Amino acid sequence: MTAQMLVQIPLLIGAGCLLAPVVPTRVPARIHAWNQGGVAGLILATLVATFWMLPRSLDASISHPLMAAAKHLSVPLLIGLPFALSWPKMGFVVRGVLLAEVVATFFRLGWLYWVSPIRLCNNYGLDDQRRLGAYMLVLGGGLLAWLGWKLLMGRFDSGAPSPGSLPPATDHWEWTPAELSPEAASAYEDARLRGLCHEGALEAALGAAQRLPIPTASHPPPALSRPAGARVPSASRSGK
Amino acid sequence: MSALRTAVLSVALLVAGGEGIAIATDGFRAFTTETARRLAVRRRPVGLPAVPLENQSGVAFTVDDLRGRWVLVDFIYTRCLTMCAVLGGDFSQLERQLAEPIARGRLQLLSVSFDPAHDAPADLASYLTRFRGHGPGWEAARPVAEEGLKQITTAFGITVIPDQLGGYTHNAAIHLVDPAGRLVDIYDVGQVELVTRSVLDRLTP
Repeated sequence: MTAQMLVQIPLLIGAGCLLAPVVPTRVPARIHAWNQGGVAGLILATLVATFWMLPRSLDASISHPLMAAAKHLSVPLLIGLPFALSWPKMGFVVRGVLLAEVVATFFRLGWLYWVSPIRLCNNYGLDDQRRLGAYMLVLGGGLLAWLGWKLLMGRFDSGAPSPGSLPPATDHWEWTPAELSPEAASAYEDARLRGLCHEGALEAALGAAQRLPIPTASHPPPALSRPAGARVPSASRSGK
Repeated sequence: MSALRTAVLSVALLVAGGEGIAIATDGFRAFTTETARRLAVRRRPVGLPAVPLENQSGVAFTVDDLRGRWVLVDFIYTRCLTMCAVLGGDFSQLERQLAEPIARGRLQLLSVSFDPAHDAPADLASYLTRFRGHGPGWEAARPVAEEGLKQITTAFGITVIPDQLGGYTHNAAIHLVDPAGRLVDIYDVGQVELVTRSVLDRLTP
């Protein structure tokens, strides 16, 4: 049970994620119109994952070869792949809710497996079930600690969404490198390479753009194509 | 536009997925194989194969020979010190409480061993003695062939897995077979009162 839930299924999900880069680029472009913010893909992955979390399904995938085949196909193709295609489109809030829910699921199921006096799978013994529960509690705790660390240290990367996947930027935090002037974009890239998060790199890029020397005729001023009324990054946010 | 499409697709996925999970859990009632097995049997009784068995006295018979009587069946192996001991206690109690229909030949108790390699008729006999099973109301039997063992455990939905102590872990329950030779109900270990009431209800016309 421990091996199936904490090794086999995660590996199958990982295999699905690895498929994402080899999907022909026109496919994500076509499904994008149906998957704004990665929401539909996330729902699909979550529902299929829910099915494979049922004790009955785990049992059946051992007892019935057809269910085993269904698992080996559906976990990579309907969980891993949609997840990998949707994650880059997800906003900060969606990612946060997903991660919090993953942590909560580890705690709920881990606790259930740990304390349940009855075997939930006919194919697995009680000691295996209890060990799985303990491991899940530990993993959930570790994940929570990592999330907390990321949040507290302000390094939670909301990702630089690919151009065109976002609604028109209304706040400079949502600007993508493509919307920056060439100088600012290269400063942004440098900053990202130095390990800064998206916001940090944007600030660095904006700062660099403001420090640039006199514009030439062939090179337009480095002033950013900032929408009217948008806020200028203030020093108070640089500590983030 | 793409927000609308995404919303439509998401709702469709949620409805389809919710429906799928409802089907997969028998309407959110059965999350484990064991619960599902019980619900399925109650909804649709399972016809049992005519598996050749051998009882504690070495007498050969088949599951079909039990037709015409109600039969309470459990699955055990005689070396078992945990679940089978509880089941043995339950059957011992049932034999006393249901002595009347047993005496009239309308009910039979049967303990089937899923470890025929170790459980020779002598072992089965001593198992019955251990729980003061008096026979012929309570018999213990083992499948004669490996094939029969597989057939009977599959029909009843019994999963047996080896444990680390050289024994087995198995889903233990009390099974009720009707006079037509169909598995019609499954009860939890320890539900002696419920089984007694249920059997008496079914026997009174």
